[in-house]
Amino acid sequence: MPATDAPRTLKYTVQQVLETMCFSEALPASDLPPEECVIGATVSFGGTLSGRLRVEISSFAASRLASSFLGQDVAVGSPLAEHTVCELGNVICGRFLSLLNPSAHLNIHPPITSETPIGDAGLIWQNFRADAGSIRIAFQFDSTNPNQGR
Amino acid sequence: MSLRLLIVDDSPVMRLAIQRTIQISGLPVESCMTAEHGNAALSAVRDNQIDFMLIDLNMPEMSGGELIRRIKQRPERPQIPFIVISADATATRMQEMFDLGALAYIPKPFSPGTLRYEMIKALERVNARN
Repeated sequence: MPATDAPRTLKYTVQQVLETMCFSEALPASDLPPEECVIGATVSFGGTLSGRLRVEISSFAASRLASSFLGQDVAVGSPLAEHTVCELGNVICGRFLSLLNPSAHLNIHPPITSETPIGDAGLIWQNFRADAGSIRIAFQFDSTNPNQGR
Repeated sequence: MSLRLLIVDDSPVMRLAIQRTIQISGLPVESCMTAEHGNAALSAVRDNQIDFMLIDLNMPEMSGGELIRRIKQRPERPQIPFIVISADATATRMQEMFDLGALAYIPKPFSPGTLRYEMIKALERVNARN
């Protein structure tokens, strides 16, 4: 897929990752209701492209995605659900950046779980409705140009 | 030949998912060890007979690339064939890993079928060499 448009590429990436890893459909949503329980993770990256990814998945959706990914029942609140959110963040980050700039030198850091949202400056974000809950993905580049270094 | 595998990935769910895929793949696997970081992988390689490795790249403390370089620096031991599995799908990284001797590079996300296919192809290449 040609990476001509960062928001479109992000939407494509999230849907592809969820379908391939978790056999799950994620439908884009312009607005999401506030969720009481959300698992959040942040992935920082450096190199040709630098910035951070934030993924927030409602607890019920995280549990459902983890169950699909692992092929076993994963209870709401299980550490496996948290680890799945982290790994989804890692995979979405790498896939998105690789599509944006296939010749980049990337250094993707291990995900960390965190309740702290990233700032609004230069944010590219997408909301999705998934089976049993919501998913919010936000990307922030240190430069305002998401295709920096191309 | 029954394989003794080592999976190196800092994500516990990815290690579990890869193990499950291999268990149901029909591949001749005798044992499937896991390591959550590079140092644990070096210990596993030192203390066990490992026939084949699946290595993640983005890990804390020691990257998969550094792990591969360290394992290759053991002149007294035969080289261990390996496949790289990574979220980094850039051409630059893939070429770097092929230059280090990777038999295959599987970008995440991958389907269970892709993992099985790439492992079979890699093992065919290993058997052809021997």
